[in-house]
Amino acid sequence: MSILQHRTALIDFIARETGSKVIELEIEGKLGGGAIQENWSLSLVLEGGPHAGKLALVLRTDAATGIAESRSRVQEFALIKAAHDAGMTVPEPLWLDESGTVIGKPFTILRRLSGVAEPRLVLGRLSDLAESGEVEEPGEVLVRHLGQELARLHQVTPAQAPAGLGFLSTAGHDLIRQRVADYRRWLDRLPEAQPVLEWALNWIEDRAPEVERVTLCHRDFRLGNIMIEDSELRGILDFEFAGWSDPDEDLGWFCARCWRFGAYDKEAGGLGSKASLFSGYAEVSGRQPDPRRVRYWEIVAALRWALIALDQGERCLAGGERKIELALTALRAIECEYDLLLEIDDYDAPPKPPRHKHAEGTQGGEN
Amino acid sequence: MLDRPDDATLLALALETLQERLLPHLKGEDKLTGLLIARALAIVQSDGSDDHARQQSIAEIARLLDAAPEKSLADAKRHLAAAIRNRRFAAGTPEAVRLRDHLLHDTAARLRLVNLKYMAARQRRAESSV
Repeated sequence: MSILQHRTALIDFIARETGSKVIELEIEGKLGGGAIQENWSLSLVLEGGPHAGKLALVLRTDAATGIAESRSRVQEFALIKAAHDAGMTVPEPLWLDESGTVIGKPFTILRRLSGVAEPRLVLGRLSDLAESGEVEEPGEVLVRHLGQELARLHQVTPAQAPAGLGFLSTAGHDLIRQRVADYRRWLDRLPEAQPVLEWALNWIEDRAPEVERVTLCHRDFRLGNIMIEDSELRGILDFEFAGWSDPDEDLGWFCARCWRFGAYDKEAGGLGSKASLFSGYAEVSGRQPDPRRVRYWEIVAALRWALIALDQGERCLAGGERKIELALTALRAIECEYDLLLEIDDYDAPPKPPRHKHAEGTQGGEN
Repeated sequence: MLDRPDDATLLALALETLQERLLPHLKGEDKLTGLLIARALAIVQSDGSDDHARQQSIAEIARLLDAAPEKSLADAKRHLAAAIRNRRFAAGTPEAVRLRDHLLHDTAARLRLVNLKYMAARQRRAESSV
């Protein structure tokens, strides 16, 4: 059922939440993206109260079917608020209906950001800016900024957690062991056995590094969830997977090959170098990320994305959403399996001798 | 079962018609949807009913497990996955090497069907290793 049928109830809800008079509410339509949620663009004019004036907003609610790992809208609202309070650039969280009585299901309303999130559009624009010389190394600048953003989020620790995050599962030094157990249960729920993912999980379990710190993590920090206008960051979106974790998980997820959108030589999210990302991160956190630990988490990322992709496929094949894009997403798991087999080999290989000077300056060669 | 035109011919014609007559006229979201349909049809066309490859895979898994071949590939993969989880292939042994070779061969074969471009880019190994 569309929210268009609930316009009057929405106006009453906003008036109650703000103590303002709603002069105008326009439901402008459903926004693209968000396979797990529906996002609706709203334009609102309020008279009186703290938000008086014209507001560009997004109403976020659940899609017809979700996936196992995703959080509720209520929980997501608390997570965005925690990130906002920590100084991360996110859409300001405004109002929440957890009762489900206004539009038939819980929803949140956030301030709408300008810019685009679609990865190909972002990469295309950055490439145009770089070619024109309008902005020097726009990808590197952006990646450094993104490193700073992650470091701000990672300042939130369980010891100083806002009260609203009490629903988050605790995580400690056995975090990876717990994660491996979760992923095995996830595999058991899938209709077909996955030998490569089982093999990779054994490796992840055997090579698990010590978890030295646990912080609030986004856990889906990548292009597609980042609003960018030209080369400027406008905000980080989609906190539905956020939780306590090893902060290197966010860095690994961002750098994983599956999230480079074809720009494989730009290891930090298809945008720039790991050096810029790590340098931005260290500026705010005071901690220089360990590249080998990040690589370990890149491997975990490939496994996790494979599981999510297979789950997305099941939404079409066994759930209620008959969409060809969901069925094709399941096939992305094969790319991850291939990555896992090669990345694990690379990780386990002895360190390579340094290159000779005359070999430097070439790109795309065998490493 | 149809003989003339057969399934493969009809599928090829449907894909050609989509690519040559419809896709050039589509725009925006419709174009994207058209491309997804073309991709799905192309995958089915490449996969065909390659029973020989399926039987080979079942036989290879049986050799790895030192067991009789299963009737279906799904059953064979289920037994292989269980054996991996139960740590039947100890690291550093010839069995572990054979397992890894099989997994890579099988995954590459599936990836060739669904995204040959990805595989080609992967083999260029454009990214560096830290």
